[in-house]
Amino acid sequence: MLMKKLLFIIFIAGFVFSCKDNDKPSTPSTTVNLNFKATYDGEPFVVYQAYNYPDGQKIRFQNFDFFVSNITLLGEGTTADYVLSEVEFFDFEDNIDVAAAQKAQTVSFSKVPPGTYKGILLDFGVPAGLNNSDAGKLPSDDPLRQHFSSHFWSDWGSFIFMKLEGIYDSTGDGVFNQSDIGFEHHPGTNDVLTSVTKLKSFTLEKDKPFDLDLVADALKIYIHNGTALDLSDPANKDTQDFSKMPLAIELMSHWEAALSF
Amino acid sequence: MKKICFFILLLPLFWGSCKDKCETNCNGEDLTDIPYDPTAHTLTIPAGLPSMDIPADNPLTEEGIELGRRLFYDPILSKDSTISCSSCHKLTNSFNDITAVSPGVSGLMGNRSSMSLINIGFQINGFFWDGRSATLEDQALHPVENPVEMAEIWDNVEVKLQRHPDYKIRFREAFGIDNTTEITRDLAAKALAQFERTLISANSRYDRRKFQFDPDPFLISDLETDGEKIYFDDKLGDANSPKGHCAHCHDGKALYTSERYENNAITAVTTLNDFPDKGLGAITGVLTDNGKFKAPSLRNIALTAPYMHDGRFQTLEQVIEHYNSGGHYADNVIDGSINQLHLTEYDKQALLAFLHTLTDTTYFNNPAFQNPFQ
Repeated sequence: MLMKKLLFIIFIAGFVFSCKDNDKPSTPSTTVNLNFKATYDGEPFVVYQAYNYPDGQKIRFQNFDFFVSNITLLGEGTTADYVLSEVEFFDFEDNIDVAAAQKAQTVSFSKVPPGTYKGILLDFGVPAGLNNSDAGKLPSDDPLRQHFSSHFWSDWGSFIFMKLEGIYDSTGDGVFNQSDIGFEHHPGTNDVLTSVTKLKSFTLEKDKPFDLDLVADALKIYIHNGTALDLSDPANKDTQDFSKMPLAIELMSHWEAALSF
Repeated sequence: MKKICFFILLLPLFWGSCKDKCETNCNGEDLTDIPYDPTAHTLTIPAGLPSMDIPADNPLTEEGIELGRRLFYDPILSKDSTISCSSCHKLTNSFNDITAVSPGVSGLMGNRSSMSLINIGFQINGFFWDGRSATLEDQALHPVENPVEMAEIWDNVEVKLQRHPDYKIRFREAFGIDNTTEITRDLAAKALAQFERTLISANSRYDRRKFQFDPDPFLISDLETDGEKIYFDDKLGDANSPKGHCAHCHDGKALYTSERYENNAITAVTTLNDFPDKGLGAITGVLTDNGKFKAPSLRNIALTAPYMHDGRFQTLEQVIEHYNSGGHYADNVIDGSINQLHLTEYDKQALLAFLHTLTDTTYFNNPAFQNPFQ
């Protein structure tokens, strides 16, 4: 009798434990931390700090932010491509000192399939399907809704994809004031969405969080074929009206060089 | 002996008075006989406006909104029952007032102009000129205890509301409380926030043209259309056409605010430490935030004079002239937007005309927003 009871208990216990095993996710996964930092010519990007512009003048920034979309890990071999996120927003306006600038902005993605990846693909800007005022109807925790008021430019019917704002010491006196040229580079519209692929193999292992470290260099946004944008020309101070579309496209095209991984 | 007897006779009276007070303040009054069956209120979001975030713990109900409206107009929130929210946020002025700074209890003056309450339920980047409150619910708590506004303390307000014959019923109907002691500042703030979330405006002439696609060819004049182009830095004929840079701080589609905090160069300072009102900087402690204030919505801006956080400009013409001049440089002014605009007299007239297209008169005629005590 005792033996029968014991067998029954073992049977029940086995059943319960087998059920528990079945509830566990069968697909192994890990976490990827996307860590973004900003620099200026390799130095930490700090707002209100004067930097040397390649033409010998000083430049100072107030803001550097951008949308990144279609963030995709590119699979290698049997590993399939994996889209980490549809759209994210990175903002370095609060880099008020070097310590703040050295701290990366991180977005974490869980349940990423382990495997070997050959690199990463990112689109700088907002994908065409989301780049309209309907994005304002998204939930308040969505990056597009969170920055709808500050980044949706109604006149274009588009988000501003990137903001680089500051002042260029056009008078060359080493002092920033109203005699100098304030700039406001705000590229946007579907025409300037820029895709960047960075190839560098890495392997994700099950349950081992992986840091994907990216750096955006603000100076390189202004370098075209080795020459810095002429910020002394007032025509280059903004990108707001459609006549400035070539400049907007040019600046965004520099993301390939400005992004390092 | 007579004295002792007199004392003994007085005791029941003393006891009775204590008991009465305790019934009101300690044990409260049972409210469960009052039905609690709130009616959900669904907001209709007009074209041009974004989504509104309704907190899960404060859903909109007809009863909550009505309670909030009553609290908004009721001076019971102030120390001497002279000041209500509506004292500084008058409906006819787009829930603003017409003074540079508003008088509070005993006529005490603050140092900031009241902000217009319009489409504020859509805003998600802080409230007050300095952004010190993250939510409408938190915002609603502050004016009561501000010594230059209502100068009251919430403990007293709670007692007044708990004793009030009408409010105790309304709090029960709105929030399902079982006892008057459950009437708290948090519930009052929730009701006020509910009312504020209904303050939606979307029927200006510009709304009708831009977002409702009204085909009326005379809805917006050529002058106003030119003003729109200046507002949005769009070309007005040629590459050298004037740009007002207005939309950099006042877009957000039909919100007409970026919700950003900026130094718009209205105050001359030698260093960033010298702002008489540090604005955002006083909250964050960051030097470069000093002198920054929230860019307000320009909806109904023609009705909300005087202008700026301290009400220094009496007219929109003065505001336009300020921006045209480039204002006072400081390290943290918006370098790209705040500089001499070189607007002609025509440009200034056009811009002014455009700003008037943002006026929504249906807003302040809406009976749902009006004083329920009148």
